[in-house]
Amino acid sequence: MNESILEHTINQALKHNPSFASVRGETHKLSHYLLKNGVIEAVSSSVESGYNVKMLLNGALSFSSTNIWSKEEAESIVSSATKQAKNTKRASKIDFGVEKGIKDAWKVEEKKALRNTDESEIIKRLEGIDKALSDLKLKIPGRIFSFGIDETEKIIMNSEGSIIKANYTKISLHSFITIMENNKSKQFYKMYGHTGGLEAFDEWHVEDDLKNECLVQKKIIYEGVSLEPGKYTIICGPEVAGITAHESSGHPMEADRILGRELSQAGGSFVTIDSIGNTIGSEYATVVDDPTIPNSYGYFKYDDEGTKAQKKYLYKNGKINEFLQNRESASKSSMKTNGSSRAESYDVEDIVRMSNTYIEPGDWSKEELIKEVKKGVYMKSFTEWNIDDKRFNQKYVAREAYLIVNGEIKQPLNRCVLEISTPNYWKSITASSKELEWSAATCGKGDPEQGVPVFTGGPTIRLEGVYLYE
Amino acid sequence: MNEKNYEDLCEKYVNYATKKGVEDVIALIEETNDMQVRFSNNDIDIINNWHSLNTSVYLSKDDKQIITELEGNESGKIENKIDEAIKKLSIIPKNENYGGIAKGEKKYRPYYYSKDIEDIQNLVDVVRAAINSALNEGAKSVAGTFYVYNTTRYLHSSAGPHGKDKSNAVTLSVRAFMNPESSGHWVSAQPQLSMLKPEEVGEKAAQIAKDYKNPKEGKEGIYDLILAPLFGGSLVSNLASMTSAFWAEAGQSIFSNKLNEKVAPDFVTMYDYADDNAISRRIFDDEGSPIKKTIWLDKGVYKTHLHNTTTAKKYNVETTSNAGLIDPSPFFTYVEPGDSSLEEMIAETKHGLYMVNTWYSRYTNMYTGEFSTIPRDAIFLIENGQIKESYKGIRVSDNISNMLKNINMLSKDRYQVEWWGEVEIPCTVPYMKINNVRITKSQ
Repeated sequence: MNESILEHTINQALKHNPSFASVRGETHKLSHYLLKNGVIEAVSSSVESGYNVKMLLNGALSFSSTNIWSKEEAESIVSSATKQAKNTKRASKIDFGVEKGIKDAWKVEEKKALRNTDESEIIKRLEGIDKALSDLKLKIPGRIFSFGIDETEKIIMNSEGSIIKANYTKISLHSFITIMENNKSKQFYKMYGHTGGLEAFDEWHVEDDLKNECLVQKKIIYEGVSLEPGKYTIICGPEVAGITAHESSGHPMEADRILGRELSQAGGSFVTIDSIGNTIGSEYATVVDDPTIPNSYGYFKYDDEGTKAQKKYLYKNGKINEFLQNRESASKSSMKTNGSSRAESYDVEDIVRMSNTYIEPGDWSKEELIKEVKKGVYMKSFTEWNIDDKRFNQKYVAREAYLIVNGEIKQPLNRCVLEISTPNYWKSITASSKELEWSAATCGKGDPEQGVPVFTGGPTIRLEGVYLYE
Repeated sequence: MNEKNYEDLCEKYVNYATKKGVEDVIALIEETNDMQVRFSNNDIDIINNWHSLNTSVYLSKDDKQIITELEGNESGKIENKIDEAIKKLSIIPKNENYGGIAKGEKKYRPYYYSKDIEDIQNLVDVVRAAINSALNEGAKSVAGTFYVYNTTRYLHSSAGPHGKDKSNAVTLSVRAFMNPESSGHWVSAQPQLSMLKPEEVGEKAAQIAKDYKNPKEGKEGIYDLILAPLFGGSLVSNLASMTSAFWAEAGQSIFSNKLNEKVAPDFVTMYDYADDNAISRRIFDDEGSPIKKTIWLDKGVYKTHLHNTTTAKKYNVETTSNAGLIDPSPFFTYVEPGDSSLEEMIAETKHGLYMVNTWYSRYTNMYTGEFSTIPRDAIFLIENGQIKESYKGIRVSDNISNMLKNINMLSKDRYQVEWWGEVEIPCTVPYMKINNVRITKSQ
């Protein structure tokens, strides 16, 4: 990356005496492999490289980006940003507060480095997964595997003297499977993600995992039973716990959303800025957002404003505890940033985002949780899901669920739907297991819509008296 | 670098690769100059300016394909990337499905580029006009976005097609609130700035919010739905994305096995056509095939998937000129108008809901169509032809195939919409009435 262009950009910005200015340069070396029904349909290799300037001038915020690396272009984007900030004429001034400048560099080591990897190995891996599923002798007419590598170099500079350099790689695998058996179809999507090298491919155990998923779907097709609608004790697996933590704790606790900045797109929140300390759930409702978990898909050491990443308790023992904040939202809500500002790439502004969001584990084992249930449902994983734009009404359809009778897992369910309000959900949790498991996801927010890598996670949890239907 | 140079560069990259033995080469350079104003709480949050230059080169040799892409203007780098890509071809297995790229000289319609969009200086005035109009109508809080898009594309193919395309558009999205529970949303997507009426967009959003008084918890059940263009546009965008042959054959579509089958009533026709009225207009696809009108839903019958040259060959048809560099995709959907109006639809409804917008559509199964989506903004209960009260907290939990079959009325008036990720593929849609739709709610 041409650091001198970035220096030139911040110096040009400072000439306009902004109350705050930052420059973020990013180069992403991207590789992508798409295998569809056993055929390599696409291999692409691209370099996305550009930079932006963000300026706070006269209390107005402007952002300008380019992928042309020249001093003239740098001056041009500063000029655009300056002009637009001056045009804005806001009634109330935006403030970013004051933070101490930081100089640091960080990187994530790759145990199995990409540069030492023969790319044909990646293709063979994908073909191996496809073959493993084909060898199951099931009818699987739709088998899509998409593998991506993003080698990122990033430099952030700001008007407070911060210069933060980062180097890391994120890898991801998306699978989308369609099974047809007994004149019925079942579909599932599964994603894997990691910050680091190709070592994750071994740790994911994709072949075994997807083979098992296919066999489970076959079992549901042939042996699935109907669920009588009614109130049940439900045991939710870590994947379900994780998505609920993300959707109905992480998102509603984003301060920019609470303050209305996302209202026309990603929506608002049922939480208000004075909700800290209010009860949201039972004592087991503890949700954490932590970007510092090594090699997690949502890992970062500094956010895109240069604030050090930190662990946050969003809900703590059933109480609303801490919002996700960046400098703008923190200043507006008279709080401090907690390093939650992220951008998908150089060409979008950083906004308040989650990282790795999870329900804190408890002290039960999964087996103990199930053993105690007289009449219930074990919802191991989910497929269709959604939540309203205040994050108050949520729905999760089981990908894999079973009846529990007298402490034993029985028949698989054809379909099981948990459609529940956010307070009801968090109030109904009565126990959680010791184990913590992660799922990778891409979280969408902002306009233009930005997808950032995250983990969702949790233990196995128990909810009592919850309405379920087919 | 001037525009002629970009056309020359495309040709240069194609020649460079063909000299190295690559059989099919397409070079595509795209330059964009986009701007956006984001606003909320009646004021402007940020103004964004984006300038980008992207070069993509598609290479195919011995039925093996690779795409290499580079951003920016650093000369010489593309040739290096082409060299790397050619080297990589040796490790890529043959694609038995490969059917080549569009061949021969092509004639394109002249591109249409709106001067008033290109010359726009002050985006703030447009936004202030929309905000003030909504406030004057009684809204208490207004949020939204105003986009200005300017795109120039240059293409050169080793198989003959070459050309330049230039297009631009504006979109304004306004969401107005009377209070946190009562909101209305309206968008306007236009190929010319002079066609955008920001005051009307603000006013319409505020009117909906004002009508949506004291919503109470809705009830589960089966209802006839009347969908405003934002909601209908979201459904149409979902359906259009399922027309790509590439994804349909992998089961990601309710149309996977429905060629020439009746999937909707006789009066429902939908087609893909990125013509000059479309905000996503273009004159050629990514292979250089001239854009054409493709009726994929003809009087209720699903007639064709959307194709590039490769998928068309597999289905033994002509390309529909919907090529991307990897897969065919829809560019712009038109829904043919009906003969009704919103008022007539309400009058015809015994037990139904009028819904303004939706989001978060997700599928249990894209092949069978089981899905749900969550209405947002105003929801009105209709009983015996009249709006009775306002609802909140409900969800559409049904099947998109059934909803397509159960379209009952379409309005004469149509609206061009594009909004965020929910109406991702822009479209021109009427109001729609869809009968017998299942509504669920949280417990």
